[in-house]
Amino acid sequence: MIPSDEELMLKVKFDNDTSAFESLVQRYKIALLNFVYRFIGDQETAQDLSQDVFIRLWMSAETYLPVAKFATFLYTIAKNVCLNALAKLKSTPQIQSLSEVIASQDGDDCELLDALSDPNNSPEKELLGRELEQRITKAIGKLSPEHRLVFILTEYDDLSYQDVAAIIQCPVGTVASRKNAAVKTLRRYLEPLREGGM
Amino acid sequence: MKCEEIRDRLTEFLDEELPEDIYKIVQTHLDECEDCRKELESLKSVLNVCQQWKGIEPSRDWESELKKKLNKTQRPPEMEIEILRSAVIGLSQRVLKLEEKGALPPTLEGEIMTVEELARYLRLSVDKVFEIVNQIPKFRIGYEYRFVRESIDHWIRSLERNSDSQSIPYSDWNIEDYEK
Repeated sequence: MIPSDEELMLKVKFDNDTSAFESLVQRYKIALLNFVYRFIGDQETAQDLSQDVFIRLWMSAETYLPVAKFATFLYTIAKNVCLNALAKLKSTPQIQSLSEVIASQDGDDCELLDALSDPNNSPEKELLGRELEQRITKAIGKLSPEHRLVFILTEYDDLSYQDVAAIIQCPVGTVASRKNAAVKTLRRYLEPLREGGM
Repeated sequence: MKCEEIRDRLTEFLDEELPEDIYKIVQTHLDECEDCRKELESLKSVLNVCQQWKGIEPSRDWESELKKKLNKTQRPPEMEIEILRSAVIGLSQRVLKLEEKGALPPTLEGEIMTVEELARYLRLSVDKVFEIVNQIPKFRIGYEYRFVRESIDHWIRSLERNSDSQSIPYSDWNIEDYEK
């Protein structure tokens, strides 16, 4: 039988089980990487920070309580890592702001294109997809960190409002109102796309 | 519910996060109100656009970088366990040695002491205890002497107070006996 995330995490906590840790990394690395990427908006930083999330997970395994869902525990760490990184970005002027980072992503950036492209897609479609992604990145970058967090967690990480409430430590009603506000803000920026039939 | 209230709950409606009773109210309203239906469709299409964002893949060296960082930030876990294990073994061996030497106070063994335990407690030889046993608070079970620690402590304090008390000459305190 395949062990649950929680069972693996307890092995990490009590036995320092490296193979259990390895399994958790395999299960969550892509989701975590993209969570950080969507929040921070920079690919390289996201690769780096997503590793930091797992380092923190390993270091704080002691504090994991089996009453908590593993995903909630992991995303709480990820949220903290992201917010800390954001605070550092803000306080370090030589580092580009999120919008500058997004604006600077030009056509040579093949990684994003690779990730997007479907072998069946024509180059035109790829380009269209890439442009669309940039628009979405930009729009999500316009959200406040609080709204962005809620939007990403509920929309891309498929977490319930209750899980998100546990992660950001606020009432479920706050999660609902932030999500609502986020979607309405995004509509302002993405409406032309929608009407353009993309 | 007014249209405005309904519209505030449409994201929750789409996310299926509404309590059942409110979900039904919203559903019924949507069946009847074209404007709110349009609003719902508009939100839905924004979310559909957002779903086109497929994300990125981990870089080729992602895992090796993670391992490097793990090694840098702390000791490998096996080593940690090894250190703890050797500490426990070392500690228990030390306790055994001390017990053999009789260096451990009898407090570990309880409130009532045998002659041997009292000797250890007072840092005296067993012979010396027998020698002065008449002056020590005690009770007997059959032929066996037993000493209540509390009474012994009390007795020691009274000896301290009467430092001129010569009931047990200091010269007779033979620590060397005990050490052997």
